Amino acid sequence: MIKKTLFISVISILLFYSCEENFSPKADYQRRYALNCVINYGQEYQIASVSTSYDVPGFDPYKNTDDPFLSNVLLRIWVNDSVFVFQDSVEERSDQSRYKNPLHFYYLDNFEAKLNDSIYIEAVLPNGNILSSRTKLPKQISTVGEGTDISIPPDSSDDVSIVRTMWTSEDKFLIYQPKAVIPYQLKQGGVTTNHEKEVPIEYLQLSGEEIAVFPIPSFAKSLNIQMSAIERALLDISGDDDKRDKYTIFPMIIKIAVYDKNLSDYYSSTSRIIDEYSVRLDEIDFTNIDGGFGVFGSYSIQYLSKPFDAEYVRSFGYRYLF
Amino acid sequence: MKIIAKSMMLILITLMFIASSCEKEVSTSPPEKEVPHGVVYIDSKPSNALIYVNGRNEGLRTPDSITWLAEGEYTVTLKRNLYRDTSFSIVSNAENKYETFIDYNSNPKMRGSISCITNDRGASIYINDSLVEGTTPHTVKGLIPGKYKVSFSLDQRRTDSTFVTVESSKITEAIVILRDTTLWTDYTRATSEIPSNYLTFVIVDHENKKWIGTMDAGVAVFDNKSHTWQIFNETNSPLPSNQITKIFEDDLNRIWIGTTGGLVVIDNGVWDIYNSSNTPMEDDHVTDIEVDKDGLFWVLTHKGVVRTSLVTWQYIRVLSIEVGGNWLTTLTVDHQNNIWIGTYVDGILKYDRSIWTLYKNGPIEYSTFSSPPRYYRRGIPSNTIMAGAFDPYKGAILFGCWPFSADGFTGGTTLYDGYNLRNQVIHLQSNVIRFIHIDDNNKKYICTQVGISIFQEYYGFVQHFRMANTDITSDQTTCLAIDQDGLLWVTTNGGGLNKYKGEY
Repeated sequence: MIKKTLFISVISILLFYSCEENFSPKADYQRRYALNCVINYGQEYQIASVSTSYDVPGFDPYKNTDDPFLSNVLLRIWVNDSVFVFQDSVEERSDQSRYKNPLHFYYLDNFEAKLNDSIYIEAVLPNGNILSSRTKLPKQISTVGEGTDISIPPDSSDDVSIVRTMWTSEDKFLIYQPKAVIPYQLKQGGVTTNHEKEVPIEYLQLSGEEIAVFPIPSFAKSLNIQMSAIERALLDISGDDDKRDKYTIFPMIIKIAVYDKNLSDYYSSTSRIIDEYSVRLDEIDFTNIDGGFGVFGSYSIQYLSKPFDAEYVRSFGYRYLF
Repeated sequence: MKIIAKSMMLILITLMFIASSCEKEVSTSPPEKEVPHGVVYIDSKPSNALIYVNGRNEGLRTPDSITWLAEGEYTVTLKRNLYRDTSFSIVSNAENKYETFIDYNSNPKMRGSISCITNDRGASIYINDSLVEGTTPHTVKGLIPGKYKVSFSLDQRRTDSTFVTVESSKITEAIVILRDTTLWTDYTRATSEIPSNYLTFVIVDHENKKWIGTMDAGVAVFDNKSHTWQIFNETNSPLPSNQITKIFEDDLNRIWIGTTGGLVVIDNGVWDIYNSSNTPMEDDHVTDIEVDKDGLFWVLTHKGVVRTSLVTWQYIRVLSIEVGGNWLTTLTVDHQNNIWIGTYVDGILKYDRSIWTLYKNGPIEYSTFSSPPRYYRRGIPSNTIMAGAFDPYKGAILFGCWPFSADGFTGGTTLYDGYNLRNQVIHLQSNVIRFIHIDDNNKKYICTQVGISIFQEYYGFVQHFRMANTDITSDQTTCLAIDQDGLLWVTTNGGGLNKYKGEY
């Protein structure tokens, strides 16, 4: 009986001892890589970054102060049969609160692509790992006649208090970010300078305060601007300056940033206010990079012009050129 | 025994428990993939060929390495401008670095050819200045792709060349029209060292050298015996302006050069500059230089005229005539030592050393102006006088009058026969007359906007030299001179200098 008791005790100690290992919620650290690049259509200059994951003692990722930028990466972009090889460069880092070293990045200064072109990016890392992804530049958008007022103020729509713009694209489920601006010139002391006045879609009264509301990215392919907002913007151009004939107004331009499928997916998964059906993810959860993490996407900025009625502009005392 | 069996069972159960109790469910990411290690090094001659692997442009150029290539066999294609594509197989192996070298030029298919063609057969062919066997038409084969200078040489034709680009397995044509120099030889910036194609004046000096004035590049002196050029401009000489208006050689072999910045006299290599700051010249824009019967030189400028021996200078007051615009263009001395001055808008002035007479196209007008100047209506085809020359055989002066559309004047030539000015009809190709020369044989040469017209008698046959019927390089002739060998040297506005060896 004593032997039996002794035996069980030894086994129990052994059992207890064998399981004496601290449980950690952190998995074993394994290095991962991230590639980020957003192609800006129409620009020869493009930038990209390739970085590595890092481990820190504890759970605060901000304790890492070593720049995760990965150098010596063979980073290339293919557009049809053309290939563009990124160069690496360095710039002074403005925010040195975390990383003290200069800011490293990869760049192209000869990029060329057309709307609707397919683009493939590939990064061959110094250890042979490959990160890759594809995107397709958005197609050309065009205005929809029926939903668009051709001039400002509108003269044919049912509601003359709203200036409507509607566009269409053969691409489906893309996000558009419109921005309306009024270009103008100011001639002062013999010198002419060019300016732009951004136009909100409306002004809201909030707690007795007037708030300008600007369009946000969305799937909507239309933009409605209150005439009152346009009038307010026109008045703001000269402000208190009584000599309004120094100002020459040009037709309003609606700049529409069209996100490609990748950026649209990324934005809709991280934004809170796309629509009630979208699921918001933490940024790190979204990736479209094969072999690693990150985002590769593209966008184009397309322009729609909306002329003013000349008499309308002159009624403010401005000159008008179209 | 039973106890032992129970104990063994207990141990087994306990060990199983231990084993199972230590299993932890902690999620881990999948391990990194095994990466391939093959490295392929590709070089070529010539280098800088684009590397394609399995049809994909790698964005790399030879010599370069493709790293981290998965083990296996690949088709590599090298693409290089002017060369045919070259494809070959490589094997990527983790243990051995694969190296390959492609010598494009060792492959005969990579060579190209030039088909050499000239308008006249039998021209010698030079490829990059090296003579090749055969004459035109001829095809030179086996050339390495690239850019070549192909030159052709043929007797009585101007040696000429062209640049062609040879590509692999292709025949490139080098076609040159060799200019016939039997009669006309041109000296342009493309074919000689002449500093400009825009020329204003030419003379032949006592050494048979040609002094050529340019619109924008100073003076060029050409010795066609030694085929040497000497250029004088604002940068390398005291020349005050690169715009030359007149060149003149006096009996002492001094060269007088009129420029828009003053007068230059070169005496045995010594340059002297005269202008409004060191002479009574009213302005620096010299338009003409002539010598009178007294051996004194008359220097005409836009606004006035001076008479000089280079030791003394005398200002001649022209403005008393009140010439509109004050733009004096040409000066001629007649056999009676009268001075005739052409103006841009006010007709012809005659100065007989005491009286100025103004001849204008227009109604008869008499003036009581000083001396007195008398106004005549004469047969002047326009009041814009741009050239003049004395005809010693007739004792007359021939003037070239430009059309002046504002006044409806058609222009043409007018002749002063010693008594009257009368409209002298000569069938020119253009009335925009820039220069008149009358040689010792009484032959008249008129340079116009449309070639040269040459004639002996005023109402006789007129021979025309222009682009339509000769090899002259431009119709816009500005001046001419005859050298000691009887060759005609013609300056043009845009077409450089032309030499005529034929009959006239």
